[in-house]
Amino acid sequence: MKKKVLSLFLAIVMIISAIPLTSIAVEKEYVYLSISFDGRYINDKNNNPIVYLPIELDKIEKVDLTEYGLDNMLYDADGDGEYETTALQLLIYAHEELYGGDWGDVNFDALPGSSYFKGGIFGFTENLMYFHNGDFPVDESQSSDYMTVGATSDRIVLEAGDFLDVASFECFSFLWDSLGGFHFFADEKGNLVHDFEVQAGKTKSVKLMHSFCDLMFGEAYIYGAADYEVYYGKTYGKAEGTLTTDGDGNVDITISKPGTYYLWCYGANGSDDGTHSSCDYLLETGAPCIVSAPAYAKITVGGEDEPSSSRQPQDVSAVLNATMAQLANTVKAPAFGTNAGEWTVFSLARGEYFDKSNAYFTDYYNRIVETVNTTASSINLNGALDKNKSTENSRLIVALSAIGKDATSVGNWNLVDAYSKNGINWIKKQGLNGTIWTLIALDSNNYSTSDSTIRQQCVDSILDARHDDGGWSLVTSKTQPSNVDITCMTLTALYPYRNQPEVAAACAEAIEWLSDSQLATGGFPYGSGETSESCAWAIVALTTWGINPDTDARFIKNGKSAVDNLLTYYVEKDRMFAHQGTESNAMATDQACYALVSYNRFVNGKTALFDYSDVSFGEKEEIVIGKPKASLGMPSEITDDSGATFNATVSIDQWDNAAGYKLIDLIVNIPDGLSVASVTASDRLKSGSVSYNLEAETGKLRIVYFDANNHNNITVSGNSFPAELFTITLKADSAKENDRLSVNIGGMSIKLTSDSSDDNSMIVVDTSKAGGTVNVVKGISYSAVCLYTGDGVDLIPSEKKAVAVAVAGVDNVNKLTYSDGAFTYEFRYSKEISAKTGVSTYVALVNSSIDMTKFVDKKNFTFTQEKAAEITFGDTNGDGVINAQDALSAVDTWLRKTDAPEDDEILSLNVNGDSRINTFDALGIVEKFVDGSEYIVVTKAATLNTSK
Amino acid sequence: MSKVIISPENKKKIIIGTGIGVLVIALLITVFLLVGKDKLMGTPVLTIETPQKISVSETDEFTLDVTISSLGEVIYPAASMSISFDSSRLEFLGVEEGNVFIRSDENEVQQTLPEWSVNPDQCNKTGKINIMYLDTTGGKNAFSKELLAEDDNVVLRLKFRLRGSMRSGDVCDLIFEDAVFASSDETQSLAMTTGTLKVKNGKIVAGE
Repeated sequence: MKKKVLSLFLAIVMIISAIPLTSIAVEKEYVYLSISFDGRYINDKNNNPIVYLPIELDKIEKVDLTEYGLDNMLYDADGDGEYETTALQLLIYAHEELYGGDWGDVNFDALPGSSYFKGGIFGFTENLMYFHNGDFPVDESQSSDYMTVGATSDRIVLEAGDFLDVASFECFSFLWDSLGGFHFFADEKGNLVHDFEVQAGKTKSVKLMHSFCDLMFGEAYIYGAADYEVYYGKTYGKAEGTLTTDGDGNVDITISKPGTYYLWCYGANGSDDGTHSSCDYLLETGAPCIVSAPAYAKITVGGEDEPSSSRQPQDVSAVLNATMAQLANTVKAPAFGTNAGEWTVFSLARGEYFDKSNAYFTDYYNRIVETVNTTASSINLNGALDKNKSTENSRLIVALSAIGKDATSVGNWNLVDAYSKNGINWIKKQGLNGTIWTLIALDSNNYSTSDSTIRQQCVDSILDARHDDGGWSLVTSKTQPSNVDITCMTLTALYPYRNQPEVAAACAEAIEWLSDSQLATGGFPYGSGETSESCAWAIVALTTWGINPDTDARFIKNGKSAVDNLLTYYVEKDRMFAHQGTESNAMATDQACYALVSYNRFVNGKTALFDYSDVSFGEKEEIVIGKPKASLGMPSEITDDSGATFNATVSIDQWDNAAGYKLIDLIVNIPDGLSVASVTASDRLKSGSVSYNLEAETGKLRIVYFDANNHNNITVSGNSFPAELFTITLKADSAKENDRLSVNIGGMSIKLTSDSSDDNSMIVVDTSKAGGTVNVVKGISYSAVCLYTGDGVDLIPSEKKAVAVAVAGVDNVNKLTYSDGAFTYEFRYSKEISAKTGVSTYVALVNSSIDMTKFVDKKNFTFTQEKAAEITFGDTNGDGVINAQDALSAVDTWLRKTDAPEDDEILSLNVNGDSRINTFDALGIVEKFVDGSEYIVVTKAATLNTSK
Repeated sequence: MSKVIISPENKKKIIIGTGIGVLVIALLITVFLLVGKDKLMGTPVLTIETPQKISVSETDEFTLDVTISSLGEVIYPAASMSISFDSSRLEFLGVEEGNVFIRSDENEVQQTLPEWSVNPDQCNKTGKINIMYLDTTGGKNAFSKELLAEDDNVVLRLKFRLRGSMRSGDVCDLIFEDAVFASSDETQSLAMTTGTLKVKNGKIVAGE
């Protein structure tokens, strides 16, 4: 019986423990506190001013008033049975934890709603005044239409983000002196602001407000503090300049150097109107007393300082592309590991060198699945890939996420859960590296963690390890100098947590430290010298924080920027980077490569290097072998001419040549009015031959493809997908104007064996979206598709896009001109696309701002009797022959050995139809020449359904 | 048969003419030696060397050399050729290495054989042998004149096998449709299309 009970208990425990406590990271919440005495902020026990100091709300909530004998001060404002968090708890916390005092020394009258400090708190001798979120706090429970009662600390309810300004004065005359009260900085509308932003060299108008509450008559006033002195500087209390407000309290501030600055003013004397007669201070000194509180705000000066504003960010794409090409050529089969592994994959993915669906990445992933299954099983530690090194998981997560793979499901393992299940101690076995890379990995794809505190534990651990000089290093002694590489990695890891005040402050100082550390070469120190790796990481960190490492004045020394410095390590003959000197080094190349990727993404307005919000993780569903999808491309319009023909192309989004497919069959539903002229197999389909028959009664076109003689496996050549399989030429026998002819694939399968009883003998292709409608129109009509838009990286400007316009109803090849009043283009006739679609199709490179609907509007087109100029994709020199000269031209163009290509050259060069002209196009030309592969841009034009 | 009589005047003319002819020949030889044979030999020629008759009973593979007579003064980072053939009587099996090298290191001028891209299946399907070499480094691994062997300029070798349909006396032509040794400066390229590269087609003759 005992055993049964024990078993039941264990079962319950196991079930409970198996329930995922998954949640996203819990961010801390804060309230902000300033405390002043006689117009100056007081210092805490560490001699730092208590001014707009963030304090975790959680810590205040934990101050239990009952433990202080203050049960009667518990306050349930809304009557929900839960006590509110009040300013009294905050003051107790501040007195004990910040000021370092003992609550027992505080003389406090604990009267609910009328509590009163008689002295002792923060060493003061008098009561406290409160200013809550820029206003005098009101106790609603005691106020009425006829009377407003100020709230005492036990009735001021605090919520996340609240700001409490606490002031005390030697002289009581602040209660009635018209100059008494609080100051605060505000925007032009008079709203309290603690964080201003301005660009270097630009003027910011700031308003200093004064709030006075006349307790004698119960009136409150808020107005601009006229003729008041305002100070600014990088450190509170150390003024670099003084300004005086105008009659409305406004002051214009202009700072030429970027950085974090502070504004403040001190409290001021009261009016010398004799009302201080009761004040001992006045009697003793003969001077008026301080009656108002100080004010404080931060001002972030962004951008570049004026002297460097003319420096333009340099284009590193040529070096970057050469480096990525070298990596791709050198590391042909990346696998799990620091070298020739994750970093190469990461760089090529974030550098967008290959598409995510490229075999380079999918093959890597397949290798990784095997490695993970083996290694994680061997380690047997909740998905850990090493007993001591959490960075093994982190590095792999960073790479996998970069190629759109979900790290929570790699083979049989969840790589992310290792952090939560093995805990912070496992992470910290690698010291700071462990915590840094855990954060970077988790935040790359915003992974959920079953332990919701694990991120914050890492953040706290990193902050605890901060050195006295403002940076970090792997050395635990905080008095030792910091290290650039580790500091920059830390900055990168902490960026997602910048809303935490401690993080923001620490990182601001670290960036200043980094600037101070920069050498006259533009590089960064490592030991007694400098390395490319340190510079690379500085570039990653700065771009992550939105700072341009090539133009920001803080990171230009002796006229040399960090980017300038990194490029000095480029070894052109090897297309690699050196660690130091001129000898190529693999690790230096990896780091320099992703640093340039980071910079290139930054200058092109893309997400940061480790911010994968631009990565589609849904792609994994689409490329899973076994669930292929078919598509049917065809023109959206044909003419009502009897006998008009057009093509419908059947394509598939994936194919596994190793699977041993023997046969493809499909049924295409053909509507009345159309007949089938022919069905041909694509050149990419190998080994078989095609047979088909249209059943006239049902309109079902049955197509089968297999090797009837030798029963060889069917393969698809080339790596680009979707791959075209069949072209169906359809003839409009009796179509009439306004007919809408729907053609769709009713079913499609790929068979491996003839054994129908075998569940694995057949793959059913998803044909749910393989269909379309052809509209029958009278006369000439236009439909259009965008083939690609330049991204400005490799020779195709971002303001250019290639458009294919299919013109139904024309038999000749006359010159087609587009003109919408703003833009005029002569379109080039494409014989290849026309043959593919069965409809005369023209292409042109046009301004990307033109809406695609303009390319289907008849009135924008003109046909003239001249013969249209033709475009032949891949024939870069227009000699009518595609050969090695054209392939070489693509290489030379990408290498910038020739002038930037004109529009027609771009059209003929960009044969793979992506956003760039690069060596892929050269290889595309080679493949077309050698293998007979169709250019992707042609396939793209035919497989995309054109639209009206 | 009539007797030819040479008058003293004619005899003098013949002697002078012969003398001038000898001088011209001597001058040409001098120029040939001074200027160099390459410039005088003219346009480079790409040749498919025709082999001896191949016996129809021969079932083994055989190769045909493709040679280049010379190259220009520039480097050629790419080259291609298209050769049509009768795929119903010949089976193209691929290419074998020749003796024409490319650079493999720009500084030390190390040389290696180029890796030609060719797809025999596609060639047999279309009846056209398309072969290409492309140096994606932009010239570092290019063909150049100094890497040509002195007397053995075999660019590559075409490998064939006779099909059963080949009969004794049949002749299969191997015809260049296009060929180019491409330079980054296209005006320096050797190309059939521009007449800067001449070609000599080959043939395979079947014997008993």
